[in-house]
Amino acid sequence: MFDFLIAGVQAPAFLLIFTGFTVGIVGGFIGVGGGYMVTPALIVFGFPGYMASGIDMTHIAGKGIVSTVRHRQLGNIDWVLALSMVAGTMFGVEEGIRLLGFFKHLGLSTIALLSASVVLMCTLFVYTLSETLKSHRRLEQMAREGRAMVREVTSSSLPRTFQGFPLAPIVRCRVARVVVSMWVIVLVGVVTGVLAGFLGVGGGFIRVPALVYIVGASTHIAVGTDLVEIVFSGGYGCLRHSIEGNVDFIAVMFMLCGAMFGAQFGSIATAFVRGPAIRYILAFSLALATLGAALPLVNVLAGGGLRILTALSVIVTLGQMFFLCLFILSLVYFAYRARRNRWVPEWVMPLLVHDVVAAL
Amino acid sequence: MRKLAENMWFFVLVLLVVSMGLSTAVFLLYMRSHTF
Repeated sequence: MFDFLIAGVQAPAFLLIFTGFTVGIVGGFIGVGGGYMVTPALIVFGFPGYMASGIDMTHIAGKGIVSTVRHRQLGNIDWVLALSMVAGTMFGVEEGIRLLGFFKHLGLSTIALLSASVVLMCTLFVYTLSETLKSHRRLEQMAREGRAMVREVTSSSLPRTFQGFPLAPIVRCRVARVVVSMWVIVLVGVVTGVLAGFLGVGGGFIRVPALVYIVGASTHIAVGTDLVEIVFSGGYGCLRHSIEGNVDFIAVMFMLCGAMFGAQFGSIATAFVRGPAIRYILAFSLALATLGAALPLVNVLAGGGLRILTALSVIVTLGQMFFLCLFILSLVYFAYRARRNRWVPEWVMPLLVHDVVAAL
Repeated sequence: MRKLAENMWFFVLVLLVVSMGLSTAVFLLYMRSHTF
């Protein structure tokens, strides 16, 4: 047990290191901050809610920098895309917070927040999973026919529609290999920012699908570029929470000890898989996050008498952290086996990049 | 290992059950010393 004097809490330090490590793996792999997993975990460890939120945001800023550096080395960041989105995202976050304030004024903030979370995440889950299943089947077909397989395959026709939007200035994102109107990128930034500000999250799980299905970037580029956004939003959140006195920096340091390694592992793991593998993890994350938000929503709608649902929601959220981490570790293990010509399941083969050096 | 991983959805289900078990164990350990 470690005595966290600022938070006034006693908690095992290894649990914080472990949480930092697991969420670091997931964050580096699918390009999210992981706030929706860390905050409930910290509350379970005994930290008060406001402190959990502050520690979470500060650790996300630090972890985001580590992941960004790794993804930059892997060539997964399109700086034109990232910097074009930053202003829109910041503006959107501010508007989202105001929108939440409006609902708070009406006394409907909890219901509005949980309903929006459930509807949005469920929609994203259904679309991402169905599209990823189609892409997976296409990859399997390419493997059967012995065709050369690329790192990214998508079956969505949405990017072509948005890339055809003819409003100047048109931006050429060389790394993402996308030519698109600047207004589409800014709009994506504003909309995802509003949703992130309204829901009180970093917004990675909204921005990554938006970058893939609207802008038309590959999943790897979307992950790397989104992490740049997270450094900005996490840094701003860290500053705000620090001013409010919501951050126990010793707890943050423990979490970062784990996250430093986890984030690098997760970022490097993306080099072993093709785009649909990352989107599968994202889809499962969205499914469990939907369940995690739906349970307290039912409790609120039932008048707050079903406290067991809130407890179940915490269990689902913690379980999500373990599940995603185990799935990513399994994919890396299968990639390791495949490179040594050992048996791997048939469904995994098309999702793996066999020649990592060539893929980079 | 082979039996577990042959079918993607079965593999996902196994991972999910293991994860939720771990998560429940952590939560119950917490409940021993706190009230939720």
